[in-house]
Amino acid sequence: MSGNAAGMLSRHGSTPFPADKGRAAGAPAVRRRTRHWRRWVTAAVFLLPAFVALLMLRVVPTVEAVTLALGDGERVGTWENFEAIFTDPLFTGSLRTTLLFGVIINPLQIALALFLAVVLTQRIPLVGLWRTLILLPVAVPQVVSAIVWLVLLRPDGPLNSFLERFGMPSVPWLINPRYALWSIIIVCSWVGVGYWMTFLVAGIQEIPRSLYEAAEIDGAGTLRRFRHITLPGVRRQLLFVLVADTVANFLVFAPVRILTQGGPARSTDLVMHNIFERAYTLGDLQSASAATIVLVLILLVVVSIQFRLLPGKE
Amino acid sequence: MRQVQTLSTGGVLLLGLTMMVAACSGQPADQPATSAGGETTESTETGAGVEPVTLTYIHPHAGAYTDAIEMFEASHPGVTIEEQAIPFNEMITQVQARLGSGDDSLDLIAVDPPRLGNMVLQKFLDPVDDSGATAEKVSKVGLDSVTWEGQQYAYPIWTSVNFLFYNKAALDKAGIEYPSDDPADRMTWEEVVADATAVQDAGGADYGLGIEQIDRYYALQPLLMSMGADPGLGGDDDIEVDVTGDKWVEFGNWYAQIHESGLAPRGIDASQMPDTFGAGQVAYFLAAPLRITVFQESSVADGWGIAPHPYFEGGDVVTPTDSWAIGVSAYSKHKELAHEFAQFMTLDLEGMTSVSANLNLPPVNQEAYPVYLERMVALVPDALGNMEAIITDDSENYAAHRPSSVGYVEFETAMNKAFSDIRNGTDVVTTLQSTQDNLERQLAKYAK
Repeated sequence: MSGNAAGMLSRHGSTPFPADKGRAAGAPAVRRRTRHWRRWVTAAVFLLPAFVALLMLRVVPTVEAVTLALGDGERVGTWENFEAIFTDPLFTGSLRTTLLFGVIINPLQIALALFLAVVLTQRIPLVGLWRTLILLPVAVPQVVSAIVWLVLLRPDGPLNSFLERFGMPSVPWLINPRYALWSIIIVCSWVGVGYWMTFLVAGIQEIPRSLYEAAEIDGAGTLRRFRHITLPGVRRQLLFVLVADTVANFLVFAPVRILTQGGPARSTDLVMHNIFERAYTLGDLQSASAATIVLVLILLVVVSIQFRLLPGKE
Repeated sequence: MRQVQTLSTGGVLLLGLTMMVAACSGQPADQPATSAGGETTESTETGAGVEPVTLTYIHPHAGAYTDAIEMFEASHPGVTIEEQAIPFNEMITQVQARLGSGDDSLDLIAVDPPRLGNMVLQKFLDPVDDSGATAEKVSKVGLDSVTWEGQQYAYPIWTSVNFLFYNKAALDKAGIEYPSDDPADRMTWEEVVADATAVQDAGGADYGLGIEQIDRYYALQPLLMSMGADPGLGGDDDIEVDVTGDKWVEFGNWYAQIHESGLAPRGIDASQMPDTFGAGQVAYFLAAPLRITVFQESSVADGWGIAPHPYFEGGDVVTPTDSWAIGVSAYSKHKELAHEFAQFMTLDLEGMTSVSANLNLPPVNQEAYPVYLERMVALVPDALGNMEAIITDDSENYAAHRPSSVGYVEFETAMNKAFSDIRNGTDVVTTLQSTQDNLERQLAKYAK
């Protein structure tokens, strides 16, 4: 936002600052200083809303979280809250569950999104309709879709009735620790895949058709065209999807809260739910803040690794 | 051009400053101010000399207070009560989140009595100083439920009992006799399970047995204690946990068994359970009377009856008690008015009667209680003819309060999860042991 404001300033004003400085040479010093000052005020005023929002929504909460997490050093030891969460099997278990969840869901969602993006950029009938249908779950609020899934996945719900009708056994979707995390993965992917697909579709459409035509003339098959043209061509979008999807899946909360509340047997207690429960069910803001800082640090490490592994530049 | 620029600069500056002030400052009680979402806290003097004030009340009882609010607003021109009715679990977390950050946009809060101690510890509630008005009007049990270390912190609204509702058509199909509504002739849980199984086997219902507040300590504590277990939280400092004893395991096995066998449903949470009885899916249903009017509008209308809360053979009769109270937020800017509204809802006959008419729990207000009984019995005389005798017997002889402890929030949260896991098939001993370990760790902070 601040970048846009600066850009607007340089376009809106008759001259950008450096040039203005040169032109003002020879003018009375007071007049020059006044004009100079006024432009700075204008810039500050345009930047103020963004600055205030940044301060109130990012900086203040971060400082508060760090202050709460670190303790006062007297009544609560500086690192006591961190010690508490790292010796709490509920938190360490939650971290393990979140990492397992991430290891499964991120490749799964990205692979599915990429597959659908490739399919839906081919010349197939009603392609717009299929894209819309796949993207549609994004438009449904997460809470609403989770409630619908809650009914669908009940042991006596429509999904199991459907399976039983075809002679298959009913599945304990949300009540068995072996299935519950998969159920959350299904629900999250139902929403996520269409969303990430959209970015990849845009990326694939940017690849010149001539490259495919040339490769086809040279006898390259579908797989080789995908490997040597599509994948390199869509690399920048893929990097964005990889990073954004990873972050989003680290922060999954609503489906867990509504479908399983972290159960059964803590099998779906993803770290955001664990933090929420600490803060707002048990009222332990200190350990929740410490856990939040740990989560942010983990995210930074994971995202940094991703940037290194998959550079976006040509 | 410069003029335009100067004007727009001034406008943006003003906008920015306004935003900053709105974001940074609280709204002084004596300044007119409006916040988003209609949570207005205006106090501007009007021509008539009336100060418009909005009180915000957060609770999980949609529809219960509508009439009482209308009456209060009619007698207090300029006062608006804004309700924020949200489900139980979400209300608990919202209250914690909002009052935990000192949010002054909440004036009144529905208080679950066992959580009162923890709320007092966090300084969420404004103490009640009504010169004994509550003590004069409500039952001693009701007053005790909102008193912490000798100080009253809320106004009790209802008490609670659980009846064993039964679906007549389902029992008829299996040729099972209706249970007695005489409190001296209570069924044992062994009898209930046997009959429920017979009804289910005969195709009378999808499920033989259902528990309205499934997996919740409130509903299961009486069963545990009837089986001979201790409440699980107590000791000299009220924060000692013991949920791994033989009787706890025995209860855990019983609870696991009724669900594993399919007698009671798995995977349906407490909010969805009442619908199962209303839809005729359940033969016997342990529930509070709060949904009597809802059942009368469902497919089982006039086709149900009630029996007293069962007990385990050879064990004591133990029944649940206590219900919601209304507290005034310590952060409210209108404490006096909020107390007045809370008193109207709980101590005023008209206010309390209307509340219990909408949500059919027995009021602790001793004047409103007979009116409630009369109304309920008139509504379904066939089923509720002996309701008064059951409530009296349960509350006077067998009621077990939930543990009064600063650690109750942690305890209830962990137990509800443990019961849910046991119901869904996890190993009973392992679940109870890990719950014990977690609770000991969580409650250690209160021993400091």
